Amino acid sequence: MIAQQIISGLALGCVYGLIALGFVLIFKATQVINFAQGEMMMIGAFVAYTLIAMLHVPFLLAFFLTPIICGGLGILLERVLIRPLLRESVVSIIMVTIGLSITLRAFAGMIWSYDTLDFPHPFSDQGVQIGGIVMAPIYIWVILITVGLVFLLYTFFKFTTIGISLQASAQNPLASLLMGISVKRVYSLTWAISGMVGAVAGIIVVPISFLNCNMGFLGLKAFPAAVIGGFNSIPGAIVGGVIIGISENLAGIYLPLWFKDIFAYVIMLLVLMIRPEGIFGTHAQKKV
Amino acid sequence: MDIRESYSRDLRIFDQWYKWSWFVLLAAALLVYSQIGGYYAAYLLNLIFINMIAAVGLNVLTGCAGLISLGHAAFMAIGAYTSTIITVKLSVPFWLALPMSGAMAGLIGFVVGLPSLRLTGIYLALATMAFGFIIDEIIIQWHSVTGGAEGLSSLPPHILGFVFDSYPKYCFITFISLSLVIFSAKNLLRGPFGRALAAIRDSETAAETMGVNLGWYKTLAFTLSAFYTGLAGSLYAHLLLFISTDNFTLLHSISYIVMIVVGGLGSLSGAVMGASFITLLPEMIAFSKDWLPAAIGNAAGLQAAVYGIVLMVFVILQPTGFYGLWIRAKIWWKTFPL
Repeated sequence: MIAQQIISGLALGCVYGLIALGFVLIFKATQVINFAQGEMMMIGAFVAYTLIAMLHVPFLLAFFLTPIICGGLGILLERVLIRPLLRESVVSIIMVTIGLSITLRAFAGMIWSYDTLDFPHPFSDQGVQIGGIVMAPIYIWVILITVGLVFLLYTFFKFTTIGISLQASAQNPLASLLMGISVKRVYSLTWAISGMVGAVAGIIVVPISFLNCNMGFLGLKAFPAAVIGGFNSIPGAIVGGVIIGISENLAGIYLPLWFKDIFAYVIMLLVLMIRPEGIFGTHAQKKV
Repeated sequence: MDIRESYSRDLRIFDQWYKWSWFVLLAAALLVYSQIGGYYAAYLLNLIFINMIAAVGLNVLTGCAGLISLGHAAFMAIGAYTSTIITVKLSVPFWLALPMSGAMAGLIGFVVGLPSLRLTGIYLALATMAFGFIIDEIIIQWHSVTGGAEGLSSLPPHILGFVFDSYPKYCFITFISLSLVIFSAKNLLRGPFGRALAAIRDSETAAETMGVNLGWYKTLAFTLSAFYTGLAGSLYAHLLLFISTDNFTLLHSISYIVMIVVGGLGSLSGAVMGASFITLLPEMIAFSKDWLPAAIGNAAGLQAAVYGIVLMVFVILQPTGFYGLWIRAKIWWKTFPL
């Protein structure tokens, strides 16, 4: 029972972690927080739904096509909405991304209806027994895909020129501009990557959750994940997500059931009060 | 040209006497309209006045002090529930319950404001968002007092034996409260308090160097903002006569932010203009539906979409909001022939 709760918490935590990863990538590069990341995930899920259920694209192909489409959407959004506000205050950018999340949700509702849709996925519902624990294969897939994606991102940031230039401009935009890195292109690329991550999160969350234009609210649970891990740490996002997912499920067992829904936020408030930079985050000293 | 010649004129709430007369005229027009405009118009006016109070409250915090709150609906909920519970269950008269609910929200605002010394920008936004969710959950779970998820019925207010049981009558209460709120806010913000908040918003380090006590002013801004919002909540509860947590969600918190952004951050006139615009937006959409193509006009998410687009367009293209437009128009007319 507890082991199963931990596994399902781990899987849901991976999804939170992937959404949080979207926040962290954008925050690291542009010091901006994208409140619409949950909606990017929702759009990803709906795009995959359109490809699979309406255009009859094979699942595996759709799994790779959707992130590309969502990456394009990310570039478009950055170009239209965020670029004009490059020098503006945090308040205005938060406002714009909140506006974006409302708009995306409304348009998704108009295009794909407000009903909960049935998402065809190839994962069987038959439980698999591993070491005495019965679990649905989808949970294992979610964990595997998350691990794979994080590994891919890690390699990308560590070993490719583009990845290193992304890191450089996150650390010091001016210096990297002087070194010949196009910081604006880096910003576009960051939004593209976070759109892709959001799309993958969308595809893998639907089989364990639901497909509805309100599923973006799941993104609100990813804020605690990002805060706990530290807003500027990529591994922190996944660890934070896993902590939230597991502790939420355990809170469902050991504490009154209603506590489960707000447990993530209680943890987030505690972390914000004790260590606002999170577990893996680094505290930025500001010079005057 | 309008040149301010003395310091005392700079300090006046309205720097010229004719601005008072404009205000009185506007007040008279609104009150007359609320009495003869019919039930629905009076209801809308009530709603506009209440939203204006909430927007002024949020503007003190976000516009003047630069602290973002995504949990202001929770302060509104605290005001609404406090007022309803003490009038219905403890039979406290309304005139006492109104300031008490503001004070209750202010007290909780003080507590929420305490950690704001360490948190700025996005972290504060997230903390207040979490606060909103937690208050929502507490209201739902504290069934014996708050009625839980089913909601709570409220009573129309009695003052000195007079029952304000219809929307036109209730307009007097909301309007007087609004005037008090606006004058007190204007009075507070023109003095050292308002300047300290503006200094904190523009540069915390500089403000601290100049001797502004950051912790004190930030908590005070939270308290005052929550107080105003609590008042709005109390008035809202006695307007609807039925409240539940559905009236105070994250989307409501966001709508107050939309109001002050659209109106113009940091100005009271902006909050007033933004609140009226956003409250009337659903009416305008319903009104313009006849002229839109049916596919757009009948789409279910139209209102939300318009909402989101208005927010984005204003932040990107008109960051100073309606107030900025108003100032621009004023300057343009002043220098017209040039």
